[in-house]
Amino acid sequence: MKPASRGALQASRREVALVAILALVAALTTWVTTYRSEHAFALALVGPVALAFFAARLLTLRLPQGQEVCITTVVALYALGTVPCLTAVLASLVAGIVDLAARFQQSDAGVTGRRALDVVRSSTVLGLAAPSQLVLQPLVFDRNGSNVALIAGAAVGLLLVSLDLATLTAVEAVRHRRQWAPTVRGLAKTLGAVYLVHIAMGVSAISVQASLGASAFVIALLLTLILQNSFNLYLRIRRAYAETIGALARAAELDRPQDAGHAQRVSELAVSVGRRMGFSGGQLERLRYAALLHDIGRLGASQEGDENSHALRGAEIVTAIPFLADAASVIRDHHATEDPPLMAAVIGVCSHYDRLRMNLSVEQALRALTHDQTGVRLTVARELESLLRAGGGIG
Amino acid sequence: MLALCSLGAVLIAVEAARGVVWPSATAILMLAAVSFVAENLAFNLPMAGSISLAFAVNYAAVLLGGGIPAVVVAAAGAISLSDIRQRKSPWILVFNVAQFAISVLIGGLLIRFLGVAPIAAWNRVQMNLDVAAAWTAGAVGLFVSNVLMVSSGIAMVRGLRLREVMRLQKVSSFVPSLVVLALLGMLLALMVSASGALGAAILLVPFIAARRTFRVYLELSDAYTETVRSLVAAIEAKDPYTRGHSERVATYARMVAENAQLSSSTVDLIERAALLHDIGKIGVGLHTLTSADKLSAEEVREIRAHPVLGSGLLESVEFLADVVPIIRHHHERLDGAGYPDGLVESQIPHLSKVLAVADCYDAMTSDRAYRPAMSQREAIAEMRRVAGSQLDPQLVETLVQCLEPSAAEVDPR
Repeated sequence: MKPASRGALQASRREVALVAILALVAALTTWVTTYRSEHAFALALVGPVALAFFAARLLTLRLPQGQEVCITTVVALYALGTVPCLTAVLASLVAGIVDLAARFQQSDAGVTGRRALDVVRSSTVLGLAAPSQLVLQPLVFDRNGSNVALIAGAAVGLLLVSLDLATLTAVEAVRHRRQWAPTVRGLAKTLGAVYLVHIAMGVSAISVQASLGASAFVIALLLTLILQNSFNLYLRIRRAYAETIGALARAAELDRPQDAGHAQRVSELAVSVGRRMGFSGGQLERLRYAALLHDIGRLGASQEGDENSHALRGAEIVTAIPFLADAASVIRDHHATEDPPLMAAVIGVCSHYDRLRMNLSVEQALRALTHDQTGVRLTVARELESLLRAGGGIG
Repeated sequence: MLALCSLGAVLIAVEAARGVVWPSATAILMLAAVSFVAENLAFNLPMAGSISLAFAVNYAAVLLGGGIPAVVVAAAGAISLSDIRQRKSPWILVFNVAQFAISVLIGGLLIRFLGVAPIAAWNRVQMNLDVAAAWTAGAVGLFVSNVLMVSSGIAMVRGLRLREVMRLQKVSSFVPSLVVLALLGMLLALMVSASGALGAAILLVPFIAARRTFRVYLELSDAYTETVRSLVAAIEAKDPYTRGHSERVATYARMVAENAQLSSSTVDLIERAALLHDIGKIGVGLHTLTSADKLSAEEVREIRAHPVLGSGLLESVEFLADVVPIIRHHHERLDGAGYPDGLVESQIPHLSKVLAVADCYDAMTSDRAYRPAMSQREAIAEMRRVAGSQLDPQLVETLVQCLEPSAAEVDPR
């Protein structure tokens, strides 16, 4: 228990340090921009802009991995194009604080702390992008060069998205000790469509600003939220699948009390190992489901069947379900020792390790594990070993 | 007859529109292309109703250039490639083009009538209350005429009355989509007027991107219950007496819920709850489930734990939050002698009562280790006997009505 909590504390210290550095740089860029622009600050506008930020924050996205993400790019883009940057940054902070306060009672200290850090992070994105305002605002308010304003708006939008992704990745990497490249790829792939919507709507609002005024933004924000909501529905159903299959896998273990929680633990280990070995997001998902259901073939079977019969039975059950069809072959091969496919080997090794751990300590289990594996399974076993020794990021 | 009517209507509308010809913007051609693409990509917003994105594009065209240019756009959008490929009657194509054309003409005329010119004719693009009012009227006109004509068409083809068709189509649920699409159309018109094709592309690209996500969502959503069904079937297969039980209970529960006129989302909910109601029984030993003798106190305790066990397993699934209490209380009795919590009639969730009736019926009409299956008549009689103390009498009668419409009239008492 102790190493885990120490690790967690170190991680959060690193996180805070990272966000603090970002905040300092953002403060600098905001100050420079404010200094150089004509309209330094507008107190009256903080309220309405904060309201817009708050509205955008209401539709938090919960990603398949469990993280919560608030995307406010449409508001940030419009604000950069129309109000002084200091106003925008302040509005963003105010909205974030109000949002935190509203959710305070529902969550524990850890979650609130993480959310607070994210409020600061998203405001720093705005601050870091502030200098672009010096180019964008004149174009927005000049009624003639509409197409140039459009392109400039799109460019600033892309800048905001890049900063958002970069800072999100940095925080993720620091918190969970993950590698940068796959994390940013994963985030970009999951959130790409949403960011695109935000940029397009922000650019539209800016472009129509001259004729429609602020109501253009209200319409754009409304449309953004509607599209984001449909994306949220999609995320929700994906999460529903993961959680439901997990619950049913747990149900299937009820008649083998010694195996309680085995499927869940194997799934977490396997996904960590897979991530470490560079599996793509799609492969990790397939791995997760195959791991959760790898022992479903043991249901009601007699204890004397050979090791492989439950693997075959499990594959049979899973093949019949269209959503899970591609997990079937992984389940079928998870006990194969002769040159198994990589995914099957990952599950086989992790399952074997978990069973060893039922009676042995970590050291003993690892020794026993690497002792009798060969080929692909040995490679996987080594990965698992180095993962566990590193002590970080399981799950 | 259909064709004659539509043709006649087209002629009349063209006559009326001829009085208000305006020069069309070059963007009209581009909008026409967009309309065509939109219709054939068949994008629908994630809300009730099946108004497609084409409505927004047609509306934008009306705002931009008035009635006549909008007809070009609408006509392009009315051409459905899939209809052509399926070799449907050409009159359907004519009808679609005609009804879109007429609706945009009406929309355009309304706006013109209220004193607002199309955007293409403005010197400066500026919004005010008059413009907003006129545009709203235009949107409403476009929508209403579209719906009326389509409904009339359906009514004529199927030999129904117009009001009946409109009720069946649940027209009122389209209104939220209408508001959103009208706003989108307005934004689109202004974007095109300000930045031409580039503007339209920027605005519409996200909707096309969102379409794919939404389609995957629909597939996953449809497949969810089936996936659960298959997994539960696999889990229950281990014991000959539980095999298929949840599936049958789900069927009965669904029947009762539909008969009781519950909403379709409630029907889906009860179906899911029924499929999952016995997953807590896995831990119960095979010898207990298949025992022909009276059970010991220990065994009874084991079996009675299953609602709590099952609902506990599902508590971690956010999507099934509503299912958890239904499963937890499906063995409660109206007289409070049930388990686990001994709730009385007013405290038991309604859907738990539905589940109890369905569960009871299937248990009675299935073979058990300690007795063979009862006949339908015997089971109904038994259910009526415990109606009021164990089961809800109204729901019992609803189930009886589904099983045997004539049995409802027979009173065994």
